[in-house]
Amino acid sequence: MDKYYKKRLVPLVLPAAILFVMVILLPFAVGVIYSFSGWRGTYFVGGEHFWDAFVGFKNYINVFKSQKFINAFTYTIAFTLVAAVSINIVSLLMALLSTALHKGAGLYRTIYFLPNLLGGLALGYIWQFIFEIVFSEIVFNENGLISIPFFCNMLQNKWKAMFALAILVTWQMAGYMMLIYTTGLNNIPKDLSEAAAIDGAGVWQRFKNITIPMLMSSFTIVFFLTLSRCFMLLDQNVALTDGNFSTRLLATQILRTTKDTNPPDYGLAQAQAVIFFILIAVVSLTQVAVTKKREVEL
Amino acid sequence: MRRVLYGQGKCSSEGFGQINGLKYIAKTDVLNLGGMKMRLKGFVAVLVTGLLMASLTACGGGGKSSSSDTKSTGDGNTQAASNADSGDYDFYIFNAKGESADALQKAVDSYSASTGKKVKVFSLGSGTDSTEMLRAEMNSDHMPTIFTVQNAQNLVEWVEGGFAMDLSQATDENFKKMANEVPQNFYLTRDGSVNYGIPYNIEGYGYIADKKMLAALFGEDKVEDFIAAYKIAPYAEFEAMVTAIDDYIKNGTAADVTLSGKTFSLLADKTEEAAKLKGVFSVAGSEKWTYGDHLINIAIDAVFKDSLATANATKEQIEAGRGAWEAYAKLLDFKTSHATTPRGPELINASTNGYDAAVAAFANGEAVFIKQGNWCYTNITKANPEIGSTLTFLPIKLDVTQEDIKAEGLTVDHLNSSIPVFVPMYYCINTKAADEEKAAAEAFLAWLNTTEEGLKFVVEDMAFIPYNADPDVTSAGYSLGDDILSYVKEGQTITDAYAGLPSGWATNVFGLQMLENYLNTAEWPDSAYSDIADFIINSWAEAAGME
Repeated sequence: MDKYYKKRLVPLVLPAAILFVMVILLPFAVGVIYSFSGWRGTYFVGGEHFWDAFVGFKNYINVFKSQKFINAFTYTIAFTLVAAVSINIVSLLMALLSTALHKGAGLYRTIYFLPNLLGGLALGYIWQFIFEIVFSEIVFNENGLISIPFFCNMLQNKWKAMFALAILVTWQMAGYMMLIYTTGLNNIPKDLSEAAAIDGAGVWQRFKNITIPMLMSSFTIVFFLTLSRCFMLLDQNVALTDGNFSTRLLATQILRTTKDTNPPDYGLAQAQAVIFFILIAVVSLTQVAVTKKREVEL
Repeated sequence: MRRVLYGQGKCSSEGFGQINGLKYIAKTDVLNLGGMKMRLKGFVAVLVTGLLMASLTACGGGGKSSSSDTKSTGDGNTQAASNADSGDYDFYIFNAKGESADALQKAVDSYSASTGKKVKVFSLGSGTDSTEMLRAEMNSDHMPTIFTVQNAQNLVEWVEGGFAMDLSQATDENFKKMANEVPQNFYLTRDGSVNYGIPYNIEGYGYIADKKMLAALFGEDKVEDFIAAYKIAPYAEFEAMVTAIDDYIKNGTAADVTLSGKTFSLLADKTEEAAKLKGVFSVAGSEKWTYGDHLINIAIDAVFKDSLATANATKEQIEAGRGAWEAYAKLLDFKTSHATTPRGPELINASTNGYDAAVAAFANGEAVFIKQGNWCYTNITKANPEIGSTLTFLPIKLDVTQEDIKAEGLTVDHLNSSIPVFVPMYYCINTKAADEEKAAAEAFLAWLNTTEEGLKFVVEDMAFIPYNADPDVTSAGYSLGDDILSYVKEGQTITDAYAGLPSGWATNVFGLQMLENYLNTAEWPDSAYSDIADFIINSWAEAAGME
């Protein structure tokens, strides 16, 4: 097999490589270049070409002066932390449960995986209905089943909306992360746990000293996926609150920049996108490096 | 071998290793999984690059990414049609008004049949924001010849980019004549003299009421008198009338209502229709544009004579409008206090108090009035076909004195007895298109808006009120449209001065402030009116870059 792939490496890789260059690499490069210019979406300010509209780092300076961007930035960080933690806890619990099940584990996993198949906007509108009607009017209001003011009108307050969004993404992503954890759990040899049990280790000790260290490589992937996806979250944010009550995440902020400005300042939006890229790269790579170090090797 | 045993997914764990502080050592025969380790590293690397790159291109590259061949996007309402594949046409119309998509296609088909011209028409679904799509099309090799611009603020982009054509540069004789005859108050302009657009149509808005509901409240024989008396009544009488009706709905107290010297009595025995009422106004609390754009427009009309004056506003002029801004706040307070849904968190609930829900509540007889325009006629009749023929417009009133009014030549009486009538969209000609295309496009627009054949499509199929309609001759063919024409005929119209506000401010800054701090709050503080006025003055000045 290896020989087959080695011989035909170029023709096999070429289609993917061409696609990657055309739809990812080139737009990326063009985007970076445009972020240094007065680009308005259909034309450059002051000339035919981007070098006529070259503004240096002006767009970048304006980004950091923008209160909206700073707000979106801190809000995104806070949301990502909350969401990443809750997704990880929920998915790990679900994975532990599904590996412990003897019957129906497949069905159980399928059900928990299903939300992941729905698109972000559809999910957002479904949950808008849940938060606004089911939560606010039926279950948690004063005359409802149980009165919990925190769960009423969650979309009408900056921080409550952040938890609402975290609930949504947990529901959406936990099933997928559960699969990764399940695989990781299945890869832990049973004899480790058995030997520990014989030596007198309790459930919690075994979980803490065997399961967690042995799962480190799964943590790397799951943390990376949750951090980066939550950082880049757009559709759900737009559908749920559309940035009302200062709930703009960074991606929404970038998207709306061309609406906030007239004529539409695509150069500014592009500069935000480049900063956004660097931020995600730094956060994700640091996280991968840190968790990688903790992965165990024999 | 190990993979068969343990690896159930492609992202399986990479091996079993030495565990810090752990004394249980795994058997050596399960340790040789170096190959998997490599695979995992590769997987992570691919994930990292892929997701990261996607983050930038997906969010940032919107403007450039759509191809010129795209024929349809958006939701199920999308109406996209094309007679010709890219390039194979005489001219190309980019139509942003989804509501008229089918009718425009019909008109174009008829035009093609008689002239032999090949026309490409592209329309987006109604309610879809088409500006991104238009920008993508303008970046392609096959640019639209005719495109849509909403107002003078949106025009900035297309003038600066060199797309919108000054209509005096037209070559087609019929078109030139038509362009010269566009009334100056309907110009699409940045300076008041150069016109860049041919109006699509005119629209108007006010409080929509169903005459049958008014009959159920005051008696059938009183309806016409009531409407006539209401139109000229001052704000205080309007307020007293609403309070009386609200009391009638909630407590059943039948009182008398006085409007411009005439007295109307609420029927002592509630009719079936009146018993169904839940409030005086149906308010779409989650729709920022209803109070951010259209309601504030009445106050802005009181201060600025048209959108051009608004666009050139100085800080002093905005400050001088304080009386009107406070009157706006008072009206919003009053209106939302007498709505079908009590003011509070539920009023801004998008699921229960969105546009559709508010229109349906009015159409089903739960409210006496809804502040909307003739564009919502189809929505109303969809919800309740029976009231289509009996709808009427009533003016929106502000509690202002003559000192509060700064717009030249405007009186309190005129403001409070008129409805805003304005052009919602314009056809523009693309300067960058080929000369033959431009000439063909000009000829088509002239045909559409000046010939009997073309106007038939405009009036009957698009259900438009032509901007050049003669109110004595033309009938819109439906209640609300004819009502607008009657206001035009009587000269009882104000304008759309809000269209000159800094782009996006009305909805996304001001409307948002109202949504987040007032519409969702049952009790307003005593300082609310002046706070709102302060907010208007400061945030407007900031958005217009005055500070």
